[in-house]
Amino acid sequence: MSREDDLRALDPARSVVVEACAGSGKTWTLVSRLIRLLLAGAQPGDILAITYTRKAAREIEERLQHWLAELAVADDERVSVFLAERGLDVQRDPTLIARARALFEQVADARPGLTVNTFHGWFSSLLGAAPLNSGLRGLQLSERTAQLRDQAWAALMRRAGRAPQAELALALRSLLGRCGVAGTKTLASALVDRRAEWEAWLAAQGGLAGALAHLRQFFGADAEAPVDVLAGDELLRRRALDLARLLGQGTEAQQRKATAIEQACAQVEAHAYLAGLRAQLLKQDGEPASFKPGKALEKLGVADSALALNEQVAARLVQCLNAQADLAAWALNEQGLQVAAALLDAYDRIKQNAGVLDFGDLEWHAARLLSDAQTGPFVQARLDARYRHLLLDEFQDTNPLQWQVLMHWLDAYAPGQVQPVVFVVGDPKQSIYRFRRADPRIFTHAATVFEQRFGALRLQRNETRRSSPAVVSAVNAVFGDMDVFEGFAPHSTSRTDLPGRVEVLPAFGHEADARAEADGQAAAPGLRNPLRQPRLAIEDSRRKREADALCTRLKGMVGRLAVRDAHTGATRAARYGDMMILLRRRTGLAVYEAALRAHGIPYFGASRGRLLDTLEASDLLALLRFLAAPADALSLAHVLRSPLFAFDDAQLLDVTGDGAESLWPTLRARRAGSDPAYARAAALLEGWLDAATRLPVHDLLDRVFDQGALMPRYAASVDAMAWPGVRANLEAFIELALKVDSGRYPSLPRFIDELTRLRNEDDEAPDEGLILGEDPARGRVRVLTVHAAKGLEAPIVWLADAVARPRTDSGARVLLNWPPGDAAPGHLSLLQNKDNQGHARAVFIDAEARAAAREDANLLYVALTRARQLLFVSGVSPAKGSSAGSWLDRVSAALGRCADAVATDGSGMRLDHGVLADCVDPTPDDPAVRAAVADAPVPAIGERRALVALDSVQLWGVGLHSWLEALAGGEPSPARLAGLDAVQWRDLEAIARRLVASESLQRFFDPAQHRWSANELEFVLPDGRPGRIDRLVEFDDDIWILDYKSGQGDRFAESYTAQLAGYAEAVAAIRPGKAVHAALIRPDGALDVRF
Amino acid sequence: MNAAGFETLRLPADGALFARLARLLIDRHGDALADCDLLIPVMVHASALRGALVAEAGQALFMPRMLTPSLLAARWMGDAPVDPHPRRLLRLVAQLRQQAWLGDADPWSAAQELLELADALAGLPAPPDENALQHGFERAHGLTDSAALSLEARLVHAVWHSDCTGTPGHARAVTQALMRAAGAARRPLIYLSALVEPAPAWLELHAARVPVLNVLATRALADTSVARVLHAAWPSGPLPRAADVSTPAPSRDDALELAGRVRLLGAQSLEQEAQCAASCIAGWLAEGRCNIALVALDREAARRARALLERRQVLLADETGWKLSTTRAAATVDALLQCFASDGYHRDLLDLLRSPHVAGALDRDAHAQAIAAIDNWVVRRNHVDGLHALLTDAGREFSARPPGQLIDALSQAFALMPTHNAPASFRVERLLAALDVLGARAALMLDAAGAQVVNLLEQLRADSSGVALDLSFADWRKWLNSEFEQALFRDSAIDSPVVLTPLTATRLRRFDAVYVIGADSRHLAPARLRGVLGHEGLRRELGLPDSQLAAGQLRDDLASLIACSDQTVFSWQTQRNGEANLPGLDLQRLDLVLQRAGLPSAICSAPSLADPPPLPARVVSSAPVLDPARVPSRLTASALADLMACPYRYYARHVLGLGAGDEVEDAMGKGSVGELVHRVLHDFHVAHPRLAEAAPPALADALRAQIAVAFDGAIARNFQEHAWADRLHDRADAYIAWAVQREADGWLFDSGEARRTHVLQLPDGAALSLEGRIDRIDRNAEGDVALLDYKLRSAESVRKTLQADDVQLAFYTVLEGGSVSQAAYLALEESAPVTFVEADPPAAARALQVLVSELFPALRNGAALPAHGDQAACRHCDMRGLCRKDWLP
Ligand code: SF4
Repeated sequence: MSREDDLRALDPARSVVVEACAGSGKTWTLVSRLIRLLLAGAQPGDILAITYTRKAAREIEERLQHWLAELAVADDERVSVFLAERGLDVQRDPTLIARARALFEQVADARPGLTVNTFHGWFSSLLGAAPLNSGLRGLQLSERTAQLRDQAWAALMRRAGRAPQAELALALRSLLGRCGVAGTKTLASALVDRRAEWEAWLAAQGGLAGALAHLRQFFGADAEAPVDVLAGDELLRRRALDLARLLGQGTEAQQRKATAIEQACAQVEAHAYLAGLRAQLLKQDGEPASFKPGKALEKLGVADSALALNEQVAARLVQCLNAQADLAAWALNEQGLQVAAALLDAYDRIKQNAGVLDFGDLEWHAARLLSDAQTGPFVQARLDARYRHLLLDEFQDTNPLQWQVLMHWLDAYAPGQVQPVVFVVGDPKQSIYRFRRADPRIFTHAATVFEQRFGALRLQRNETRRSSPAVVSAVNAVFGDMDVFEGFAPHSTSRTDLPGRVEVLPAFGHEADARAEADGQAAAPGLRNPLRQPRLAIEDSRRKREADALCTRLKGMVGRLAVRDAHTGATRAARYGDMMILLRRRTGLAVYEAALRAHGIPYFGASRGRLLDTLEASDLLALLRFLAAPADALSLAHVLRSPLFAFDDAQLLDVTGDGAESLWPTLRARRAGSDPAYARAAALLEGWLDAATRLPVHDLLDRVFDQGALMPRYAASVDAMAWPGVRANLEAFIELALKVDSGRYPSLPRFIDELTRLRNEDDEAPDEGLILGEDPARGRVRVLTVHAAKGLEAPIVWLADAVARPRTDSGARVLLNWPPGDAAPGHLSLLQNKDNQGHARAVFIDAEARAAAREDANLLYVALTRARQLLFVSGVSPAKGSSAGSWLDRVSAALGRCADAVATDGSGMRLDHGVLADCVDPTPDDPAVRAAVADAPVPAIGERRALVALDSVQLWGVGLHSWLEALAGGEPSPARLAGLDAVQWRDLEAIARRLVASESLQRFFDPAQHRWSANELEFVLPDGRPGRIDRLVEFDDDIWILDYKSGQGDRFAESYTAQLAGYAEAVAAIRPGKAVHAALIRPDGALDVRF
Repeated sequence: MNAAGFETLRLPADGALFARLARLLIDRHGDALADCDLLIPVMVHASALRGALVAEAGQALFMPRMLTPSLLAARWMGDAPVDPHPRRLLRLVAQLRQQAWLGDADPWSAAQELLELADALAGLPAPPDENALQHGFERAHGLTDSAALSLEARLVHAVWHSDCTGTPGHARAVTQALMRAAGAARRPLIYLSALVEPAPAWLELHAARVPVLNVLATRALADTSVARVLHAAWPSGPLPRAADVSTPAPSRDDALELAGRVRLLGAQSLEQEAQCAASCIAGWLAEGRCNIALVALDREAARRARALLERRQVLLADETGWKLSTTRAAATVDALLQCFASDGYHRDLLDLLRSPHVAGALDRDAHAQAIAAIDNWVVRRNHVDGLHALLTDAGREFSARPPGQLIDALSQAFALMPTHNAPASFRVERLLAALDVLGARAALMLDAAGAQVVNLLEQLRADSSGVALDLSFADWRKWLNSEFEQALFRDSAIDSPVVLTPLTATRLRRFDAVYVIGADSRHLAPARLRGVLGHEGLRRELGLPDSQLAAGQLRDDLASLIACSDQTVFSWQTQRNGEANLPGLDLQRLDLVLQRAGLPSAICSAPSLADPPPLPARVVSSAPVLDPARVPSRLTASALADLMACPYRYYARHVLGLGAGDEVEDAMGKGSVGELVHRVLHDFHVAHPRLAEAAPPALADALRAQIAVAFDGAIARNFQEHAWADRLHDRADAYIAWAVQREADGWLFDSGEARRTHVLQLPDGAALSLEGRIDRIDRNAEGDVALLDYKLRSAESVRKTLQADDVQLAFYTVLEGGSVSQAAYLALEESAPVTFVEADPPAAARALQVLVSELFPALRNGAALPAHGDQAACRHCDMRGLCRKDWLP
């Protein structure tokens, strides 16, 4: 795409669809367009940008804010250059500079603001605006539904158990017998995962009954049984017999076959007939057996007719088998859909009770709301958002339902209204989210729709700003003529001067030495002595060799090889932070990580979801388990072995001497013993046991960290390279405690249950901690799955394990055919395994397989295009079968087609561009040691008061007080104190009224009889403390301090008089020249004058 | 100054605010100040104001009466009726149900939302009539004829109207009380506020009777360096500006002054942020600053920072409220309800029992023992759920002992819970009684949160009385939960000059230093409102202030924070869950203004975490050497398998005697099914020792009958057990066919489940007793013995076992002694059984004896037990925490 095209993509007045290759700067374009829109006068609230992940949304926001902030403070020159890069000429419009500067504040102040969201985020806001009676308001989106699903399953089992003869229970039973518990669960959950599509399908088919009727017809279940039809097919029988007749004239084997066919044809029972013919004409797998008429028949001149007959009969048999398979598929669907629908039902009820919805609900409800003629406009009006500019990022990842929602939204713009301007950017080549239901075909479909509807311009961008020509050549060679990769146009790069290399290593096999080792083990006479010799698995040795080679190469480059810094553009020595290891899958990950560790290479693991599997996290979990259940000896032993207590094996043997059951009592008894390690452990654990019942988990853990000196002890127990990771995980664990703990109704057992659950659930398992800004000069190698690497790049990329087979669509799943643009799927059924896939669905299954193959190629595209300069591809030769068709194979073959590629020693291939030079690393090799800054000592601050509740006497006093104050101040009756009942309250009121009205106290309460009075009068004592007087009454020549007493015992008499004296002194200072008296007023009206 | 009237006065909101106000009041009122009422935003201002008054007066004086508006309202509420929130919620739900306004949608969240709205409207007079309101709604949305909108308008009208004409809700009652106070006002009123909202109606009403001085603290008037910069960053007052005019830059000197007082720190993680906050605050304390605020925008980070400070003996006075539902005390109540709701599901039951509040009369040790005993019982009986069974069976078993007491208390507690729909108040009453029976009420009263929980329940009982709405247990729990979510718990037990506080509570306060934690764009933003309240047009239509006001308020709060303290630090996490997390927009603007004034960006990274103090390195080793006395003298097949797989595992399991405890199985695990299947086959063969004597179909029927008997109980407990039962049922014929064939081959069933012991004399003179149970023993006419081991596994998985030096069959061969000529596994998880035959059992047995004779003397001789399991062994090994293989060099 030319620069003009680049700029046309930014034209705020045009709708544009851009297909942009990897590294071509999608985010740059999208955010630049946002700025162009704003400068063209769009209000921030007119703009809606939708991208695929929250991470990407945040990135767009970050980039936008960053640029706007930069514009706000940059000098004129820089602003003009910035704008010129985006096609704006400040010469022509001088106001641009000032307007660009003001954009930051304009966007910040806008209400409603500019929206950058994900589809799901946007759908959430749609649901938040649903009508009150939709039942959707106030529901929370829950990303964690595994537990709810388990509950739904249990509910379904109960329901079936209650009515074991009901249709549902029978269907369930049959399914359970056929697929087992796990299989049935998987099958039914597959539908729950596709709930949105399922609902769309149901809506189109008119409910479950309609859907089942549709499938029954589709699978031909209404027709007569296929074997019976076959048995009744006289033509077939005649042909079979004809064939037998011809064969009967052939070789001996053919004669035997002829007899068998004749016998089969004589069968009356339909199944036996089919089985007999099948055995002769079809292979085990149901395909026609190969048939060669041979010389004998040729001589007779009947070879051709025998061939034809054989083919016809076989074809008819296949047809019958297919029909039977379809019936099996129908049976599975009839039961499976019923069961799955019931599971969904139970799941819905459980979600409803919990007030949550899941992603599937979100999409489905959003679609329903917007498609409804009543609620659609309401939701749009409620959101107050008449977007005029719609920007869609990563559009290849859109799924059919999301597309439907989008269309509903756009349909609401009346034809006469101003139509929105649409900007779509994406790359079908990078579509790798089929498992999240993304359908890259929608990209093309949408492009056409937008072209017709909004006159959108279609642009294709094939120039990368990322990679060296070496990488680009390899990419072009790999994908240029790959069948499944239709629509690929060769890439070019703007980085023509960037040196680079692509190298494919020969596959690592189990070479002689590896085999000998394994042989040696097996060949030794007798059994292996496990004390001396560990069991050695052969399968990992190949991968280990690959990993070793990888580590050696990476080590050789670090600090030596010159690479170009992505930020500064300067050339410098490579660091570990420049390197990325990509894997297709997690299998074998441990081997690569172990090798990195063994070679002393710092790395970030592909650690998603593995926090709770780490040893350090399991230590803490064991501690919590013990604290919740002190009888749990295994957990206690685990904790004792952890660095927290670091018991060695001798100590462990010692304390388990009385049997493991009494481990804790034994240890506790050793508290006073001589071994300080025992005393420490017993004392600390005892204290934590006590704290565990009272403290929230986070506070408990914090105490453990602090009192147990946990961090220093762990630091001392692992090597320097592992320590940052261990530390990050310990911190992540405590953060997890904080998060889980801040939820509703926290308790230690619940926390432990929750962690156990989280650990077992793939999607929800907490991630390992992040190793922070450690040693920034050198960084760490990143180990990632290709999926996780999407959107990332690195100067040096190593694609390892490149012979691994792609994950195929197998196992129980939902088979779906939803042509892009259709309002609902055209087909939806359950598929369990090959045996019951049937024939009628073959087209859909083929389409699925094609999509899978394409996605596999996409994944490779994503992997290769991560590299800026160096790209390595390696793998191990498979245990069985060949590596043909593997990634390694493809890249290797592609390099072979490149003229410039050369062979390396050991049958690898290499393609270079420019010269990869060495340079000197200015940073020292050993990691910088940071001095720990000790905080200045701090005095203890703050104190904890004991919790005191008012006793009844005090309560009574406070009550009387309130009444007197209210009556003296002319305020209404005070509110009754908690702790006093209505009768007591009335009593108090009576007393207070009597006092205020009493003869002897008249002069204190009747305003006519004194000069001035005040209630609850505050002042500051000479020593600076505040004082408060219940009532102060000022006469012409003296002042009275009155204090109300409840009269039920004067417990503080002495100190109290002293306090009053202090008050009197203060009052005297404020009103000098007047005598000050102090008195207590008792409930009976007596005036207790103190002075 | 005694004439009634209303006067508004603006004072600059900066550090000198209280001094200025004090001067002004003394000048105006002199001695008569003691006769005035002074309304301040929050009570914490009182002491600052008192100090300022004394200082300005230069002598002692009587203070004016200081109150907050809500305290004033409380005095004037008297016994005027108020409709408490719990009751309103119940009534509204009852009404929504009765009128069927929401169809079958869940009414609770709609009711909550409507009440929120009613509270927001509490300051306004009665609504226009329903039609007018509906037109207003339509106008605001630019929509006509919308059923959804008219429903909403109708509901809003109903709620608003009933709040005005019926018993008012709390918010409206406050407004009404203030109006009453105004109607009876006798003392001059001074009203200090930092809000830009127009003066409330009740204030103006005061002015009819007494002089009212409305003091508005506004930063617009402040003209210090700091104020000027803040003004440039966050202009106060109404915002709309021309789109292309950015605020003028402040002078460099002003900017420098501000930059010296404010720090903006991006941290990479929660821990880093909290550590940074803690050490920053500790640093301030060390410098002698003590009046410090930790402003908790992000509560989690604040909690973490608080814990870190407490480690250093710095306690924080907590002014933030935590939802009562997040306290341990509330969890006890919920555990009781959850246990009831799930019919005593074992995890819920143990959660309840472990609550420190339900120990009843038991002391700590007895409580712990009781829990352990019941825990044990639950596992032993595989008690999944079922309260009735638990309470009767376990109750009987433990009778008078401590666990029995606990069970008894539970029985009584659960007996109190209504099982049918019942009014909320009745349910709360029963809940309180149940807590009493468990001794939990008294225990709860002992801690602050617990006392609040009990008070809340008592309050709820009172507040829900008289509502004739029968609730199901689930509905009632929703209601109760919503009240527990609304109630705030504030731990007021700590006195400290360092306070943990929400941003709004810092308004007009002066601190030596302030740390704002969690200042990212999500936390440092005006609250997002939902539904009707979130729609700008509707807010205007209803007469509510729009969202600009909230944004302005936020900036005022921030500006006041910076202006009134010497040091302000803002920190945030630059990423959360791997996503970028930007600093609050207002902070970015502040930074831009500084840059415009020619300063570098003030945003920097939080200091990286200090390494912990070094300790001598510790080397993990995992190769124990046994004292000869601890070398086991017994060996089972599985122990030997452990030893083969990994000596350390053997050590942990069989020398130390550790093992993961059994767990309750909700559904049968593979192990339990295996046991059942073993039993079925054994019983069957014992009943039919000679298969040839019966016809195969009859045998299969007999086998099926055995299966049915064995599985019936399990199926009754969980329908899914059909999966196994039906499958075995279907495979009965194939099994019989296999068994008949085996018999025909000459192998006759001899015995099964045979316990055997074989004592080996080891070379070092010691004896080793091999022990085990053989699934099945067959004999043939020659007297040869065949051993069979059933595996409820697929042929494939059995084949894999055989590849990895498997010793089980050899072990059994040793156990059985000489005449074994065949030993085999039988894989049952196949449509027909598949056998795997050991090639030469006597040879295998000999090899095993050789090995064992070598191993055990070696152990006594000081051979170590290394931790060297391979990946397959380690994957599911529960000794990983002990051997610490992950960290072995
Ligand atoms: S984890 Fe592995 S090394 Fe450790 S005891 Fe278990 S099997 Fe042995």
